[in-house]
Amino acid sequence: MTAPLPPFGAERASLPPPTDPAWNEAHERVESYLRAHRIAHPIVLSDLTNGIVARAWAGATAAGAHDEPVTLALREADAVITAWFARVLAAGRQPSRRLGVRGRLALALADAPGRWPTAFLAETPPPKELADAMRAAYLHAGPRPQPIKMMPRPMSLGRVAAGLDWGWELLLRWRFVGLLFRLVLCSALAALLYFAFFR
Amino acid sequence: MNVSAPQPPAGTKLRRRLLVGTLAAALAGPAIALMADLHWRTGPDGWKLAHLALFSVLSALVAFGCTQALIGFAIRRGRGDRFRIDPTETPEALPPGATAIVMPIYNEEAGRVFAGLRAIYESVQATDQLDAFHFYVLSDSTEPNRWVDEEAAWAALVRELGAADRIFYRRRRLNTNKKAGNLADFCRRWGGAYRYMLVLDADSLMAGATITQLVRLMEKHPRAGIIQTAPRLVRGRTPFARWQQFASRLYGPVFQAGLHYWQLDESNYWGHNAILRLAPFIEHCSLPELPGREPFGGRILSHDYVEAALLVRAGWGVWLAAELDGSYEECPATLIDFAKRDRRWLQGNLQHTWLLAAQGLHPVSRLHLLMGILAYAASPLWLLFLLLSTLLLYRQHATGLTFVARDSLFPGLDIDFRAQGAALCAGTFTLLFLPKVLALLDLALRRGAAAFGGWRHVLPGALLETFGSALLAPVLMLFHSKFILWTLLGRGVAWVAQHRGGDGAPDWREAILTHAGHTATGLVWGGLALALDPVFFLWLLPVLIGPVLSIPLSILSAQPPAGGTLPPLLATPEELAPWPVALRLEALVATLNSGEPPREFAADYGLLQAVLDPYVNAVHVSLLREKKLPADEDRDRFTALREKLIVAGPAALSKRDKLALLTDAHSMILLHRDLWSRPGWQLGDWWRHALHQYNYIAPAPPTALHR
Repeated sequence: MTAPLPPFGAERASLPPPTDPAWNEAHERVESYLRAHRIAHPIVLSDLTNGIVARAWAGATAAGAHDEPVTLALREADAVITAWFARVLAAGRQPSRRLGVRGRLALALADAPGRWPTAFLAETPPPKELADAMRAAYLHAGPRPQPIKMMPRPMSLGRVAAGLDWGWELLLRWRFVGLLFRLVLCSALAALLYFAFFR
Repeated sequence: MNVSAPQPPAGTKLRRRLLVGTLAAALAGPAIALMADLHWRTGPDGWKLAHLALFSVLSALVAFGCTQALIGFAIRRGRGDRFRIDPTETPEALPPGATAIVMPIYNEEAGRVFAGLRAIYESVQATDQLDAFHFYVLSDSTEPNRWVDEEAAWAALVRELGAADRIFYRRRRLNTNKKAGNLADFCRRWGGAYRYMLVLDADSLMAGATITQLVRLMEKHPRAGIIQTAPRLVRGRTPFARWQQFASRLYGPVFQAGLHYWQLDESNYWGHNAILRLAPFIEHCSLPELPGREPFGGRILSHDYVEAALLVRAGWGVWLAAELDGSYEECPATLIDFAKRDRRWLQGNLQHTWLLAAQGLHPVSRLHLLMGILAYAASPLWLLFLLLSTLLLYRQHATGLTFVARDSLFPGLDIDFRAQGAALCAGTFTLLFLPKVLALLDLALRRGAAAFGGWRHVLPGALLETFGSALLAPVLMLFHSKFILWTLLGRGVAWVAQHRGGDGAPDWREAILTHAGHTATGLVWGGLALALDPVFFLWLLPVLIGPVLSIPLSILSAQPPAGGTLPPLLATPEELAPWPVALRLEALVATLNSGEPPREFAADYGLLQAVLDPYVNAVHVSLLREKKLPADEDRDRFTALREKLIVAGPAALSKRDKLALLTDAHSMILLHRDLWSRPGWQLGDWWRHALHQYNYIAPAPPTALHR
């Protein structure tokens, strides 16, 4: 004899009223956020979304919160995710903001959504391989630096370069000299053209 | 291990250099003498003296190139140069962790960069010598999209290869001193941990076997400071790129053998695809600042030549390992991209003028610097020469007189003007085309044509390349002349990332705007020459056709092949029989084509990913430096910027503001939280649409982490 089926719609009892546009937006946003974590299975996605929204709704109803449903729901999602990270990473008292970043990084580097598609946010203890992979996952910009000095050696550029440098500085420092230099240059060019075409 | 290249004795070096100098003089001398005689017989004056001086410099340059080809051809006839550094057998294990493979990048396409790095990594792995290497991507990128893409692509790479402790990524906040500063920063942080540094460009590709051979060569030759490979051009899709590839592959070996003959251990460094000994590099190659300001003075832009000169000055060997295969780079896909790159290089090379007389440099290093300058300065010299030729003719016509020939400078040389002109022309053409003929002969003697697809493809290819070069050379002459003039006038050159690969074809508008001046120059000059003397016009015609046709030439040479299949003409051995590392790169690049960002988000897709995507945000934030609590002023500024970004979208922020936010870890964490947790009516339109990417209707948006 088969077990009796639960009444249709029973799982919706703890969710906010389906006609409330603000809570619908909250539901959609939580689902999008979880999708952004690459949760691919629709049933898992739906279960997790409903669970988070139901908790946010229950909390809001109990506390009479005036925040926007989207804000409440995402706050709940963040709390659920952070708690899961703390459990998997055994992170102790790491601040939640950094723990969120650390956990997401570990999820990405361990390719957790791809390799353990149903483990993320599951109530059951995470597989040992997943926990190990996430704990080992970290990014380094490089090994520990071993600072050393790299100083330019003095280089004499020779007398010609020194003379040019002096002249260059003169042109830059004294506008009159610069102007005179340009005038001479233009005159020379004009003279050259004159001699080229008319003499 | 059977490695040649004992230390070349000083006498050998001197003899070889004397031979090259003598041969170049012997080739250029007759042409210069003929020109001098022509001017003498028609009555010398100041203009003709200047004309002769220009001709002499240009002839000497061409003769020097021809000499190298001649010597290279001769060297390749025997067993090769006995002082070459190429290994023939290399069985030893490598010192573990002794070599850093570094790739400085600057706003290049991250997918291609990391695909190349992956191909190299896997190729090294296949040699079982992976433990000997660490890989560093040294980013100086300033474009937010590029930066975020690089981080995500790197995270994906280390995840897929399990190489978080072997492949590293570091981005500088300030790209002080550009590429040289980027490498110096690496040396200061990590250089002390490694014996060698193998430098790659963003488009470099090297086989693992080649890399391990380079390390072994450094181990075997403790006085070698740099070993430079001769990278082959690969992955060209456009006619322009394939034409460069073909020319470099066909003519390159002969020239490189000739180059090595006289350079020996005082060779040059080209900035990438080379291995450097780090201790002397750190000790001697921190670059001094040049007198004056940019663009002519200031920080040294073309650092490679100078670094080689400084190492040689300190007594270290710099070698060219020309025969080492498995080293590749890419070529700009279009004429305009090529010119853009040249503009950057040109400014760097012109700066070297300051160093020509620097105390303590080896004469060969000075010659390298001079040749680098002349590689570009030859263009305005050639232009002046042609202008002066036109002027001489004009002045002659203006007198209304005919020439009254004097006696020749050389007794016994009794030929008419026309014959003398023809002899000059024949001599010049010989100097120009002899290297090409020698390269073809070398290919025939080595039975190498099959690697190019056989003679039925090599010969038409060589003809096409020669014809194309003749069209292209005057266009480049005009480009370079303009660039030099701008540099002298103090207009700096931005460090622009070039568009490489086959899809960077210019549109008509870009081609017209870029080449309109060239076309006008060709038409006006041609008209003047025709009015002066139709015969002179015919002489000038080969130089004018290129500029006049530069717009269609630029467009046609930039078109990737229809249907994607490359024609057999201009094929190279690397194209017909690629090494496994090149095949692997192609396979990796082929997977990149999916995952283009939606058009409406493309301009700020990096910022979008770094803020919205939970994983990209985590990667990005984890790479940012932890800051102490910011000052109130900073906090207020960042709060205002975040609010503006959320409400008005990225278009309301300047690039500087976006970079400021992207650099602030606290802001990035808050932005991620706030954007996801605010209701739609509190968000700008741009973000509302961006969030829709993640809803159930659309497929998950692509990132470099997940394609």
